[in-house]
Amino acid sequence: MFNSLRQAMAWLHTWFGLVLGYLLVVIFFFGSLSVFDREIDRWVLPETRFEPQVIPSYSEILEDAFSKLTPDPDELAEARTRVEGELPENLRVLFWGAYTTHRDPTLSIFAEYAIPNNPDDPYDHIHGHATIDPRNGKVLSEDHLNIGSEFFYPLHYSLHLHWKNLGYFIVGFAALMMLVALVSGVVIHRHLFKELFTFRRDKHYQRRVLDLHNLTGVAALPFHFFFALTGLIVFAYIYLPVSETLLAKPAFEYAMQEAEEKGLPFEAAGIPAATASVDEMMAEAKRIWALRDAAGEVGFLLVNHPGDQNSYVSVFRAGTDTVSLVGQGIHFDGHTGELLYEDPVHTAIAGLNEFLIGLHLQHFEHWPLRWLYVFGGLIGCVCIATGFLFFVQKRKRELKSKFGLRSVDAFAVTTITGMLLATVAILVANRLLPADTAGKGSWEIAVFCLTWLLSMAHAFWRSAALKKQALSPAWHEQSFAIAALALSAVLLNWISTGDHLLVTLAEPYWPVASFDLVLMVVSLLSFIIARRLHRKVTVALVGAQPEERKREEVSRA
Amino acid sequence: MASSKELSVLHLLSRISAGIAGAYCFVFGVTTLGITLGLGLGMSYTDAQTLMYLLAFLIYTTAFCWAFIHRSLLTIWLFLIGGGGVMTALGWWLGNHA
Repeated sequence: MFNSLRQAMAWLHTWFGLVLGYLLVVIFFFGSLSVFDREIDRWVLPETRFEPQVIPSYSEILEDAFSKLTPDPDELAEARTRVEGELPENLRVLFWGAYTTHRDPTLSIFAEYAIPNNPDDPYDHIHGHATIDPRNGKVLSEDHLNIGSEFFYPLHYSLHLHWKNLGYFIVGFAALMMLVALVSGVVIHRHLFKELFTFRRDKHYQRRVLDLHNLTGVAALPFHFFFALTGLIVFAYIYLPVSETLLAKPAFEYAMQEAEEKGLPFEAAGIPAATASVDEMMAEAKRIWALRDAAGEVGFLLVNHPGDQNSYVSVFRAGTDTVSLVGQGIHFDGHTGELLYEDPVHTAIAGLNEFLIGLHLQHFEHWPLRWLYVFGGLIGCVCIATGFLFFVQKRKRELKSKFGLRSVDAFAVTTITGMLLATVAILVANRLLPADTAGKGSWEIAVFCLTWLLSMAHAFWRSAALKKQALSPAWHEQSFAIAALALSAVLLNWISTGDHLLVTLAEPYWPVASFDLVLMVVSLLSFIIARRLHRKVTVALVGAQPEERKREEVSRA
Repeated sequence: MASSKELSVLHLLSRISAGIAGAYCFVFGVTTLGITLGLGLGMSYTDAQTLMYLLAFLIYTTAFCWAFIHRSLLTIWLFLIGGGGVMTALGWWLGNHA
């Protein structure tokens, strides 16, 4: 097909990189923001600006909060279409769960409910979820959106397209193409090591863009490869649903056998029974961890078949000081409180898997590494963005029809400055909309989407300037808008909450202080970049005028 | 040998389809068969599945690139779809009947 391996790889790198690159920038950018998703949540939800909490008492807080959980209305409505007859008013609870990390002031609680009478799936179930204040059990308003953990983070891995897991598949394919782009990029570059140290500032624009593309691509190559690969591994069960389809029978048999061996009942007995003290079980688990010289807090609590004779409680140690999310599970009989089973040391394969996934999701405590993740992700954005710019520059003189070229540039503007604009716009909307606005979260999402759409319209409109070989003015105009909105967000946070930088730095309350500082840096950098680009566009347009005039004169003659 | 400029659209689409769908079919087969072989070797189901998930995307990347490198389109399709289909069927049979 191609004349050489290098030619084939160059074709793959260029075209798949271009088509999927737009998506990859979005995935990388929101992945970078997700590294600080909890901190962004604190900024957007002033009522949650307090110190991280440990899992609260079961008898005083959790039991009541769990029992008030209800199934997700959308999932419930969908489940009604799958069953024969009517669903009972109170669905049987399969489990209650709570998960927290060293960065969470609020607590995420969730439940799974059995769906009876589904002829196709005897184990059909739906979910319920709420966020509570662990100090008093108060449920946080569902109208309030955790923009960091419930909007930016899912955007990173699912694009919020949940129909048939479509978003997961699109992101998964983009991640695979990222792996392909990295492999093909390595093959097409003869002097990989040299690229690490090559940035020729004095060369022409196209050369500098390519140097920067190569430099960022090579410098962060292991980081990008690792994150694309481990991101795929996290959702492998969705991409390759072997155990739910072709191998459902052996997978189910194994799960039953494993439950029996561990003494953890797979199914409820259907006989109501009182629950022993879960607080004592958590205390006992902590005592066992301390005896193993691994004292720690509870990170994950599961109450299986609550209120049933077969109930059992699983307590997992928080992974604050380990790479894996949680670990050292200890399981108790829910009815008697007796210790049933202690998770053994991982096998090599399970340990490797936990390590890779834990390193991707980073729930452990390591702030310098957390910042490195952000920079690594942003370097990925720079690498892809410079790829777009190089594509446009290289073909500027070659393409007869400029529409394709203009589209590439307009999409690049939309993807880069447009995405940033939408991100700061949702923050501004969050601070402008009153806290008691009905459906506040939905309004914020609407502002985000609308801003992004407007930035695309603006980018296409302004891309007409490319005909004159100039840079599209959309780049600097949107950069000015980002600068203004990012600064507004900081000021609005001050006005609406009183938490200006002097307060948050003096306390110190880092989640808000650092996010305000980041917004100010974004504002300043955007302003500097906008001014430089503006100057460049002006020079290019002025430079182009005599040429155009000459052409007009020739055509008139 | 044809240069990339002389490629027919159909040929290119066939390569892209083989790269995307063919490689997926192949990896699905490798995963299904790999899990059942792992079970046969005495691994737990969880370990066998995890091992295949750890390898699957490296195999996909390799298969995808190979679909653009190998000269014969017929071989690519036969190997990826045919091989994937056979491995899937064999894995299913071994997992459910053996």
